[in-house]
Amino acid sequence: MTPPGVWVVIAAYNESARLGGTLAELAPHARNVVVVDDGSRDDTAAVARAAGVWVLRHPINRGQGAALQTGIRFALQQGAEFVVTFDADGQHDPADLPALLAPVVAGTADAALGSRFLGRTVGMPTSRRLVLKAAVLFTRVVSQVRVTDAHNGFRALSRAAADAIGIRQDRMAHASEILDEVRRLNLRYVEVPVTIRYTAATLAKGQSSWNSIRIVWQLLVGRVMK
Amino acid sequence: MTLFQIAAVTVLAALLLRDVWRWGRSPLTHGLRLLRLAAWAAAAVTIAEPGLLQVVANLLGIGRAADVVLYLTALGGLWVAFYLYTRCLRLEREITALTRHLAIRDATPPAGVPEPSSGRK
Repeated sequence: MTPPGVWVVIAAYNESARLGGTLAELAPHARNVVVVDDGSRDDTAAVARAAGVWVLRHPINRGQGAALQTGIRFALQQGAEFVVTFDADGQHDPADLPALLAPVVAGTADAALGSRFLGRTVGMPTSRRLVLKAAVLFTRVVSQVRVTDAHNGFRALSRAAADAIGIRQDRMAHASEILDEVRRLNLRYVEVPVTIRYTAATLAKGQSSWNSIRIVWQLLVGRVMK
Repeated sequence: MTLFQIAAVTVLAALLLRDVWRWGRSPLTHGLRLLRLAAWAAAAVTIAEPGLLQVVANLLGIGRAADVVLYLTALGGLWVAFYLYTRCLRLEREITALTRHLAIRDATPPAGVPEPSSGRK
C-alpha cells in the first residue's frame, strides 16, 4: 500500500468497460484515487463511484491533458504529497507503483517517469513501437530531455513538481508538454522500468499512430502561443 | 472619378468614420483598431488613385499593382487565420478552466469521506 500522502490521478473517457477492473487492481496498492471522468457518454462516473474512489466530472470532454490537470489540482487541494498519473484502461500494472514512487518519496527525484522500454511490454504492435521510438527521438531533439519513453502516462511527481508543472495542452500533447516542463523547471527526473499491457480493446480505443502528427502540431503551436 | 470609385470611397469613408466614432466602445485592442482604420484608409486611397499602387509596386520591385494587392491579400489572409486560431485556442483554454472549476467544485467523495472544503456553496 502506498503512503497516505500519495494520490493516484486517473483521467477516464468512455472507459466504463475497463475502469472497474483497473480500479479493482489498483485498490490494494493505493489509498487515495481520483478519477476524472472527462465528459464520458457512458457509465464511467458510475463505475468509479461504485469502486469507492473520488470522482470528478468534466461536464464536457476536454481531453486527457485537461482531465489530468484537473485531477492533479484536486489532489493538491486535498493535501497530496505525491501525485501519480495512471491510465484508466488497465495498461499500467499497479505492482510497479512502489518502484515508481521510491525515488520521489526518497527525495532523490522530483519526477519519476515510467518507461516501457526499460521495463516490459505485453502485446505491443510493431507500428506502435516505431511511433513511440520516433516520439523519443523528437523529444530528445525538441524538448532536449533524454528519456527512453516519451509518452508513458505512468509517472510520479512530488507535490512541488505537480504544483509547478502546468499542463496547458488539453489533448494528447500533454505528455510531451510535461517533459518540456521538467526541463524548463529544471526538475530532477529519473526513469523507472514499468510494464505496459496492450490488449485488443486498448489498442482499438487508444491513439492511432497517425495521431502523432496531430500531437506534434499541437505541441509546436502550444509553444508559440503560451 | 467613376461611379464605382465614388461609391467605394463613400462606403470606406463611412466605415472609417464609424470606427472613429465608436473608438471607445470597440472590444478590439488599440493596435487592431488602428490597423483597421489604416486598412479602410489604404483601400480608399488605392481606389481613388489607382496609379499610386503602381508607384508602390515599382518601389517594391513587384512590377504590377495587381500583384501587390494579391500579395497583401495572401499575407492578410494568413494573419487573419493565425489571429483567429489563437483566439480560438484562448477560448478553448477558458472553457477548460471553467470545466475544471465545476469538476472540482462538484467532486464526489468515496463513501464515508466528507465533502471537500471546495464544495458547492
